[in-house]
Amino acid sequence: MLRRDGRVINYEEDSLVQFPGSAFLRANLSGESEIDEDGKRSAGDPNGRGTAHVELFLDPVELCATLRVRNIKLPAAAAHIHRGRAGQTVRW
Amino acid sequence: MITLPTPGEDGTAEGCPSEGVTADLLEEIAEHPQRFYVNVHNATFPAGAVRGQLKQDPEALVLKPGEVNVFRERLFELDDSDPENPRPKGEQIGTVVAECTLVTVGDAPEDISARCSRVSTLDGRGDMSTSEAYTFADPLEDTLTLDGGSGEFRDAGGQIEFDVQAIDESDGLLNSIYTVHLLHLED
Repeated sequence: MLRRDGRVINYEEDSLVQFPGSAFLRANLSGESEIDEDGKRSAGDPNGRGTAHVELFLDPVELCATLRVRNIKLPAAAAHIHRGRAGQTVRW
Repeated sequence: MITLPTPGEDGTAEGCPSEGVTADLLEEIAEHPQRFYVNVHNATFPAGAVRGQLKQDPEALVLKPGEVNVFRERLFELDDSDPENPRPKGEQIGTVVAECTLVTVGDAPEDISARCSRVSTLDGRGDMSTSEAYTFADPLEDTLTLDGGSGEFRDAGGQIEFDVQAIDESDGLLNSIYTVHLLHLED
């Protein structure tokens, strides 16, 4: 990752530093975790895998996401954050 | 529902959507990430190809005043022939480890200060270190420049600069992420 002012050569962070007012979240994505409308589990692509890194900032309010998926048909059609616990079918 | 950037042919996507993003919602997601999940749809699985529950990123640390964080960076020479897109070139010329103690955290950039007490190369070609502690009174301006004429970096003909810099300069710097960078300058 290169700094925006262009002075840094390259750097690698071992850890992220989280200050008040921000949160770093992650989701490990899989086809097994997909639930269909009838509540049936493993409704997604059985080979599908991926990660989502979600960063939240409160001042100013901002949500940033980085998605990486593999072993599914690409390009994807959409990506969302939904309200719902694991195993729940929720349309929101 | 918050619509996220859609992964393309390479399976990746990155962005900061604003639609539906409110302070109340972000506070709830931060407080209770397990109530929310991410999923990705595609043509084969229009109802969702992969899904996963949000959780605290185990690699993220919450740093409070008085805590020590260790930063590790790899050093490369800089190819800045394109100033808009500087890139590393050649082989790695060193690794630097810094132990920094956060002194204060406030709402404004000048309220954030860190004391970094150790800088050394760990590339097997000799150590360069300082025991001098340094406080970044203004993390946006102050830098600690070490003498690059000793140790391995003489051959590189450069110097080391060690600073605290906001990653995102576009958001007014409030509650931004600060990290420690190391700079090797060519003559």
